[in-house]
Amino acid sequence: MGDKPIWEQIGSSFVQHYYQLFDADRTQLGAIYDNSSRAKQLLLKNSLLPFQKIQHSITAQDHQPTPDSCILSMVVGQLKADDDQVLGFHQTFLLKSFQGAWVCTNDVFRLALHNV
Amino acid sequence: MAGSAAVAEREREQAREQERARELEQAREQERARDEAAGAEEAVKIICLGDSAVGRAPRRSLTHPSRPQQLSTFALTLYQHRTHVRGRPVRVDFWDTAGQERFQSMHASYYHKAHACIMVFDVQRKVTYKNLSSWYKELREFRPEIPCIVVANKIDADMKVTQKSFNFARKFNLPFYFVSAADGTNVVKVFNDAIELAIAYKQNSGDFMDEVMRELESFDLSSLSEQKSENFSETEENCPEEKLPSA
Repeated sequence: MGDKPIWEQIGSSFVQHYYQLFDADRTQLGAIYDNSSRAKQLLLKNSLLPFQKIQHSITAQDHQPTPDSCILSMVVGQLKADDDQVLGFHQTFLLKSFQGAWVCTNDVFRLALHNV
Repeated sequence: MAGSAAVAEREREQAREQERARELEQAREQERARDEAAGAEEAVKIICLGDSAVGRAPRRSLTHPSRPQQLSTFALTLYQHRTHVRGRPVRVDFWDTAGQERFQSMHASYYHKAHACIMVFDVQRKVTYKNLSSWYKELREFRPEIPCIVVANKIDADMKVTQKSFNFARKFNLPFYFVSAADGTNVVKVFNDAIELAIAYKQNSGDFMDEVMRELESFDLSSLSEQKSENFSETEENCPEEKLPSA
């Protein structure tokens, strides 16, 4: 742990926490977003997604510091919603330090589907 | 020396390419001949709509022996089914989504040139019935006139639901079926009726886009074959003349 850069440590613990919360109870995700309007949109969108249960499995993740002391995190993984087939996805997070804690201020998400 | 070797290599490469092109053309020719021998197959496309996990699986029992063409990185599951309707061979392409409709809206190409639609909901989950209207709205934006069938699935869980009335189908004047994909009730009937409707639609569609597509298709075929035959006759005539000086 000690030899890993700080952004790796923060990023990977955020990612782990995010998907644990998402899979268990996505209505709780508000706790790890900041109060920006974009974050509110994302939370609303997440809460409206039409499935009962979901599982995420992370294949790989990368974390990099940004010039304004944020952390940029990219995740590649697979998910399974209810009884649907497993689908690949990409998700990118922008994390920032807010009152001593790291919160997500923006994220983008895509399914890895190719013939659309 | 190196230069001429390179030229020779290039010529061999060109010859190989021509050979490959000829083989490809022959394969296409054979395929066309096979299709003609089979008696001009009619091809229709039927799409499935509805919330995920409503059990749109019933088509699997119909198309059972054919393997679905599915890749997890593809947005579609395509089931191909061959049958005969009034003695005529028909190829049916059933399209289903991979589940991406939960995260993003459907791409227009899903609806493109579809001839019929099967809309499925789960009688055990009210929300899937409520969402039919948004599915129907989207369908009509892309395909204003194709026949659409409404299917109430999972009636095996509670047969009493078949006494309930579901207004959605009546409101839009759509054929309505109770189905159990689990025990097979009505499954084959739904698909056979959908295929009939799709063929009837394909043959008599008054939808503007369909007419345009029909025009384009017939235009392509006739104009291309005319061009080709003209080219052939030209080359045949030209060949002897070209050979004369060298002879």
